Amino acid sequence: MIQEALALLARPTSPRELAQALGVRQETAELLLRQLAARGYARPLGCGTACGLCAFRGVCRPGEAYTLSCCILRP
Amino acid sequence: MACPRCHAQATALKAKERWALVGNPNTGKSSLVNALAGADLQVGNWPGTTLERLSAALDLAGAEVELVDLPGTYSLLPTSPEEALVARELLASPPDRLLLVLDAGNLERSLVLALEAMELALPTAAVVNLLDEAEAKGLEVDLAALEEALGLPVAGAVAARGRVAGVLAKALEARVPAPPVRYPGPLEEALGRLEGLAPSRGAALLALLGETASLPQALVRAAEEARARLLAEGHDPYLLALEGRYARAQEIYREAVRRKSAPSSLTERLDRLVLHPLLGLPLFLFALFLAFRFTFALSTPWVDLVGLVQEVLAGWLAALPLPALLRAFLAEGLVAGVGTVLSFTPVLFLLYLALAFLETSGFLARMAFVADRLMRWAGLPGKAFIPLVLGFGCNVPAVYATQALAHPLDRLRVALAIPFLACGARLPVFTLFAFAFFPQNAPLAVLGLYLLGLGVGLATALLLGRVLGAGPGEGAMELPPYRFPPWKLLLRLSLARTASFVRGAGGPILVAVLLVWVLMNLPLGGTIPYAFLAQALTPLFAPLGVGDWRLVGALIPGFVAKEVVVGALGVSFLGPEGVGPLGLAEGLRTLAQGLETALLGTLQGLAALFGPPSLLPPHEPTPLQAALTGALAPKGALAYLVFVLLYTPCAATLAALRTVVGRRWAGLAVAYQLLVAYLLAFAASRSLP
Repeated sequence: MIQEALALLARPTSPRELAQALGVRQETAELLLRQLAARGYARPLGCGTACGLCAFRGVCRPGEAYTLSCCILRP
Repeated sequence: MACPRCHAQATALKAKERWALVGNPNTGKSSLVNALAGADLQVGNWPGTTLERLSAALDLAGAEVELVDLPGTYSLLPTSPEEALVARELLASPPDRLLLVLDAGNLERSLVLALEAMELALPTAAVVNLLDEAEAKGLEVDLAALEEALGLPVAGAVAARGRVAGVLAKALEARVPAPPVRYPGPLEEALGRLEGLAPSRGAALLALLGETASLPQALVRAAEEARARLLAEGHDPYLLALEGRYARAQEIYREAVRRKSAPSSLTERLDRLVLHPLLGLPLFLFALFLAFRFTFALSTPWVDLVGLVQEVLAGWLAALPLPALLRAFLAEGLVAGVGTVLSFTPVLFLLYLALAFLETSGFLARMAFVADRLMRWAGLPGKAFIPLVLGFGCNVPAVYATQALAHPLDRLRVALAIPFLACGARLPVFTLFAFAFFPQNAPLAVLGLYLLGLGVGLATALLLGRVLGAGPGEGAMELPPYRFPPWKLLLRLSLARTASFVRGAGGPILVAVLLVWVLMNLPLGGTIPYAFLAQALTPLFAPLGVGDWRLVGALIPGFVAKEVVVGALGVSFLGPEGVGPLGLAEGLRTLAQGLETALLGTLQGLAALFGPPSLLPPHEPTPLQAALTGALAPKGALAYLVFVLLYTPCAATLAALRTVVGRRWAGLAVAYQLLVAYLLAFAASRSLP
């Protein structure tokens, strides 16, 4: 599950997309993203970063999209 | 009642036990404590922190049980002060029983923490709360299946509505659970190697993930080696732990929850409006405006009543055959001091009530969410907007409200910015001077002072952020569903928080009032210290264009409460108001009339809640204004106003600051504010011809 999440996060991903891909509830996906971000595995994208997930710049919500932040150790 | 699906023996109840409630934020833990204990909520601080500690006592089958509501957390591997506190409490002073509070509507997410907490090997039971919200979302929780999957006693509850039957019975059946998660092989092997060194599997896992606080040193050292070995083999223990826990949570969720129809919930429909990019902010400001109106419209009659009680007590004291100095001390020192403390309580109680409503209804989280983008330019999280806005009403609850900010640095920055905001107590001084010296532009002058206070406050927060190297602030926020909070909980929380203020700040305020009384009344070496001090300080104010010692002197009692500046100016320029002796019957009649007026005023206040705001008081003391215009030029008046806006916070705010940020920072705030006030007042005096 986590490897799949990290693979998805290679590009900007919203909690909704992640939840659909992993088959978990959106709140659970949000928690997973937050826990990955807390340890530096992912980072939330700020507004106006042109991540492509919202139609208008400046109206997206903080913490709406995440992406990988650094190298992830893979077995 | 037995738990047929549990896999271990129930733990016997001891004569005195401490039960800890652990769960994600917004799972209704406080409501559960309230519903189980009925009354006697205790609000305090966790030792060594400024985080609020809520507890209640319970008499259960002859045993004394303390229910402790731990701060909401998502993990025992801490990323915030609240989470660190929960981890420390559970590891360093483990409770006798652990009640896992799960959100029925977000069960999968709640299970992630529950599985982690179960590994601490403490006697544990689970409570699935908010069953009504799950039902509204079209979810049906099978408690028996959950009990089977977790191997723990599980009770269902709707704590906010008092539906908690069965919770205590299940809690009495609490038992030490079997390891609930089977982690990927390499992690299990590493855990196996640490088994003999760790008090529990949970502690071993935390050590392996790099946590060191509250864990045995031998375990930490062995875990470091095991962790290094795992990493060298290409296995990240953190990701392996997440893998095991999330997969198991998903499995249990699928076993225990069935999805019925999924109607568009009230929360979703309301959020479309409340979180709208354009409408969100005006709605948010309107909600704050209502909270203000509610607080001040309803508290004013009761603050007036406190003032009336003070007058009656002073009148009764005047009728007693006492030495004049003792009578003055009792009436103007002791009674006035206690009255000052009590005069804050109606404001605080109502503001806490409004805030508790906004907080528990789920609206406060959305306000923070909407304000987030606005606040980011000052490097502050969205939640900081709420205490800042509250500061315009009264700095004291605003400083306390900063405790809702998770990061200590954010708390410090906002708490030190708040005293610059023009609270309601400063308005009488502003209007007195603005109408006397700038009659054509009085509203503009008052507005300018409000904006100046806000600007200086935000600049302070920004500057402190730069100096102390603040991070980007809090990340994603939790948006709980809208709930109608139980009134009993709101009232008990507000009462407990107000009582906590009186206990914490009452003493320092009383001491400050008595000190000012001594300065103003006790002659020292033939002179009154107040006049001596004021005259000694006056040359310092000459560069600001303020050369009259009576104006400088009025700033001294302003330290007790800013509105006192007007009273002190009145006494200095127009002479003291004498208090005549009052008979017992006459006093009681006055009090009865006052009570009637307060009740009537409350009803009128309720009716006026939705009326247009009145920003300025209806009348001003004209003789005093005339006296002031003779003693001061407009540029001196402007400097005086700026100084009153920005100089030291009142005694109650200082007491609140001491509680929230500590004595050292509170002392520094006083010095910093005096400096800023002086420099800006000087600049203001030079801005007018």
